[in-house]
Amino acid sequence: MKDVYIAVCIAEVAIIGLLLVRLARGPSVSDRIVALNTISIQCALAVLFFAAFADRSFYLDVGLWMVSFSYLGALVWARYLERGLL
Amino acid sequence: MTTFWVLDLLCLAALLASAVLVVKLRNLNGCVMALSALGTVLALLFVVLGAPDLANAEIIVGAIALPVLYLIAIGKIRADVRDRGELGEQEARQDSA
Repeated sequence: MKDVYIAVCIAEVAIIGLLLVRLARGPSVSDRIVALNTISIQCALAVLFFAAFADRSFYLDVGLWMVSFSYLGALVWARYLERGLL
Repeated sequence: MTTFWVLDLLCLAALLASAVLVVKLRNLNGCVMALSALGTVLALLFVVLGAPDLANAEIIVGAIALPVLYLIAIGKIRADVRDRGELGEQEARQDSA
């Protein structure tokens, strides 16, 4: 079962590579924002599966922080593109 | 080579790719987004290497606070340029495109 967990974790990191390609050559800023948020969510999922692999529940905390602050990052980008941060 | 090291090396490769993107992208928004992605992937690498408390700090600083600081700086510079009129708006648009 642990092999499945680490395999899913590796697959998430491979998806992060694909999303970095989209972040690099996204024609519009919306593509980049969606790619950035998806990278953050895939990182959180990778952390969850790595916590299941390593059998440490303390790692789940990091995934929780990552998800909540990726939402804050999306909010910051929306405000910046609307009228600037200050 | 165990699967753990495969995961470790893949994280390092994603980190290296996003770091190259920060330097190589010509779009300022894209640069800051690549910096944010670098912070997130670095937090994942910290978890993989067994430092979850450091990963918490890295999420706050690298994925949120540092891009926000850069965005504030970029906004201020653009407002400054527009006020003084030293650099034409056409040229700034060419730079950002």
